[in-house]
Amino acid sequence: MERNSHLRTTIGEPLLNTVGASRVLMVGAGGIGCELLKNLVMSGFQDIVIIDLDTIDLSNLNRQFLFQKQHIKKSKAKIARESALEFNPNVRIEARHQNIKEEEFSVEWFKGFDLVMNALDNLDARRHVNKMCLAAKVPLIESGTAGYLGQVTVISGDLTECFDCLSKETPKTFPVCTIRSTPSTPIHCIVWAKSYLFGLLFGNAEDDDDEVMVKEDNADDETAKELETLKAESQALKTILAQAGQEGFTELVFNKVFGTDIERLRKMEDMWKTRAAPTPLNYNQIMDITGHLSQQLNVAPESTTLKDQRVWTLPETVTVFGDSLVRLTERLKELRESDPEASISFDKDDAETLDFVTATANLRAHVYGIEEKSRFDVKAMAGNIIPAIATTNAIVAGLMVMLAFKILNKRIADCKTTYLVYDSRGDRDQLLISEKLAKPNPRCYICRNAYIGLKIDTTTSTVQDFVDIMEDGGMTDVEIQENGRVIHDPDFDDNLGKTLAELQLTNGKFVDLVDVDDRKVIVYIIHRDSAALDGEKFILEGDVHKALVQQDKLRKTLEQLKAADAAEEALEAARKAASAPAHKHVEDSDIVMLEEEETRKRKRDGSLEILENGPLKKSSLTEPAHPSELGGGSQQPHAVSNDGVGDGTSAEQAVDVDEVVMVDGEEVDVVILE
Amino acid sequence: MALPQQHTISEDEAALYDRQIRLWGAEAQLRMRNASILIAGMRGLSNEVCKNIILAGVGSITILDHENITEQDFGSQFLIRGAALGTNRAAAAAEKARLLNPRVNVIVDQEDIVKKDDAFFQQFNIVCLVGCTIDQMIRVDDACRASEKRTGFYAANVYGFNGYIFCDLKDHHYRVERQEENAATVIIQKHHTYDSLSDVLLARFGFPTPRKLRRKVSPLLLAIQVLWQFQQQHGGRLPQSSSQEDLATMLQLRDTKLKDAQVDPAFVDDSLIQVLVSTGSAEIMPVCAVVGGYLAQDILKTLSAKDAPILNHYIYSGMEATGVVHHIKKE
Ligand SMILES: [Zn+2]
Repeated sequence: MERNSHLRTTIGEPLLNTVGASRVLMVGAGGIGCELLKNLVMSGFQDIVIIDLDTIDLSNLNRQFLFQKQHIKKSKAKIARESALEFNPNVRIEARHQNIKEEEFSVEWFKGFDLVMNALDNLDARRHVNKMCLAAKVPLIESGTAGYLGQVTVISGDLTECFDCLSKETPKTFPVCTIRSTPSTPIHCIVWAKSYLFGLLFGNAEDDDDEVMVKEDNADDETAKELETLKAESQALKTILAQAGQEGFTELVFNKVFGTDIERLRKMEDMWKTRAAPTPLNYNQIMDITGHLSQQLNVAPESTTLKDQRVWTLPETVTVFGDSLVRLTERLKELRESDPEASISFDKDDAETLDFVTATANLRAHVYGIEEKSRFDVKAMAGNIIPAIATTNAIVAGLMVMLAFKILNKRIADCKTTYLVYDSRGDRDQLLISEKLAKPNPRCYICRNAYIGLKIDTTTSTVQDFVDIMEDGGMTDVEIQENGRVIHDPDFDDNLGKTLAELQLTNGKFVDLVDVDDRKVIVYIIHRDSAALDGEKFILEGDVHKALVQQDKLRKTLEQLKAADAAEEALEAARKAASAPAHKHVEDSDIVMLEEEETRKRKRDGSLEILENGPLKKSSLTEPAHPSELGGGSQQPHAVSNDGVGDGTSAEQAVDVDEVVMVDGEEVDVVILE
Repeated sequence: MALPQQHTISEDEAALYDRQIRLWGAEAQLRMRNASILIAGMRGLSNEVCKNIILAGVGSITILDHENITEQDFGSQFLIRGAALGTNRAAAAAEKARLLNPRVNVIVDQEDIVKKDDAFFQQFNIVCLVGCTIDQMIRVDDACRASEKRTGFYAANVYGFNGYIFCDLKDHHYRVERQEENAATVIIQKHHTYDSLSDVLLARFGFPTPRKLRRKVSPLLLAIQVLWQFQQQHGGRLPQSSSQEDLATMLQLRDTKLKDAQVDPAFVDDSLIQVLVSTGSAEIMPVCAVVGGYLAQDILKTLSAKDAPILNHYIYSGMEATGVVHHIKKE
């Protein structure tokens, strides 16, 4: 009996051999990645490439079990490889401490794998690998987790939906006036502190209000005027900055930001007709009280609460504000001695920046009568932290290997999308739910396209040569773009004489082509020196003609879909017209129908969400979208709560609800569930 | 178990456990940190469970196994290393397990489980048996139910592509937090009562239609119970993959079992029994990872007294990629 005897008994000799002969790429060696690599080396895989550009952090160690304290700051890919080889020294693992988007990881490189497995934590890299796998025609196993929730699925050419088939949730933005003048929730205050105030004080002068605040389109004169005033206020604050390091600087900044600016806003009575007006703060008043209370402040907080998880008192907040302001301005001054352009940016793991944002966000919350938050909570909200645990990652990575077995056994059709759901109340009878793989979205530009490789000497071949190649293949009046940049179209032929290299159409670039009949082809450039082309001027990998035939078919499908949508709309309109008040029963059924349609639509549109290793998409079974840890920009709180998640599939169970219910610690009436 | 009860989480722990404290809260973390767990039977599944609960930061974990490592153990027990061949399984696994989280006290016990008296099990907060015989499972479950410490009992195993978790917490109190629309958090106190394993095995279903029955119990769970019976009658051994005789015995046991349980014999297909016979002795990594993930998660849930643990079976089918919970009662 040897090492693989269990595997042989279960999956059989032939599949075990296929697994052993396969070459797999694992993208990401983080939460899911560590579990996955362990599973792969223990499941008969012999040839694995892992890639991750990240290094190990203390907060990884609660789940990324291939790493230990002494590995902090080292390459995840490399340490993961070392640790996994201990489980099974007979496996070949190649570790790359690199970004998967680098040029050397071309379509051709992806073609060298039988299978790609994503264990990623951000949207950008997921979309990239999705596209590369489609172009290389390699099946991809996608995975994601957030807290207790998780998901695995397979992406494979024409058989399944791809990662881009459903539109993604865009990072949340806020109207600039909400942030600057009329905040109403903690997140508004945090965004103000992190994206406005912090940038103004410690950023570069050129950095404008950032991407999370959008100017309202329908801004009227009043709003425009207000925006002007706000701009002037920002300028005034910058003048105060010149006095950094001098006596009374903290007080000056404080009274400006939380005093005079607020006074001015308060006077705009129209603003406060429907909401509570802000109350300005005064530095000396608070600090006077602090003097009297200093003894009380020294009393240790209640022992069960972490310092970070307790909301600070107002004097505490002001003290933290002063300390962090002084330290950050000093740090900036030092930095600017060597680099006048230097700036400090917010980083959730940089204690001083987090202190400053927590303090200023809470002072602003205080001014507006909004709930204040602990430093722990502010860290999550400002840093887009997604909770993560070992068990969810372990389960997801196990499911990925089960899918890998099926794919390598040539049974992709048997693969399913599996969701991990969470049961807090004990009323679910399914914790793993599997659905058939979804069909591709015919409207998807990324996967409903032909990918064709073009081996060519980019230094000698011109755009004219390129156009000729594609028109010989059957395209007419071709239009060429690269990443949104127009290279050539029938009305713009300036570039015809330029070489591809001159226009940065170099090795690995994807070029989008569309012809007069709206047929689309994506060409990826493979640079080859003329000498390496066996006497040919170019070599096409893929059949342009065949691609065009497919595109014609697709266009027909799309037209049919369009017609069907129009018909449905017409029907809907007719139904609405028919539901006159006299026919009450019709009205009722209409409502039901509308609700069903709403649910269906939501399911169909279920925007993709990307989490720590985030679930790929929002299904009816998972919670609302969470922001990406690395995706940036998004400002949503992380709260993962699973109550109310459900589709009523569970059977009734004997659930005894007894005793009392507490609302924020207070006892209230008993609540009976069900 | 005389563990020093600590009442706070240190700043160091808060940093290390940040991502999970954000999920289950500091109170749950504290409860886990003060807990003692026994994992009896070191197999691939046990390795997974140990890894997960050690990472989570429980107080202490005792691993109990009297057997020595064979060559085939390396196929699923990632905590052991080549040089440990022929040495005690628990001792070998403990060495690597300790490195996963130096804050957790990992205790090795090399004695045979049959030699352990009831009091031994009653000192733990949770006892988890992996791959033990049904007789041991019933005995230890009864011991846990009689424990003054309210010891929670789990039993689990994997068979090829399939696996199960059984849970008996006798009378378990827990809280559920719910976010109201006005953002207030409502805390609901609940409790579940659990039947003992010996009672569960006596469950009668009353010949319902297959559709109704399927909602109460999966064919796989009944087939696994048949497997336990086979082991009981054969000195603890599993059916041999290629033995026609064992298969015939299993089919026979299935028929009597289903008759007793008042279930239509067609409910548990011959092919399912066949799969269990041919792969029942095998444990493969991905299945261990899935079942071990759920098992560890449920142990942590129970320890934290937050959210509902499994009531009272979890059945994983790797072929169908499903994980279902069945509440089986004596009735
Ligand atoms: Zn697509």
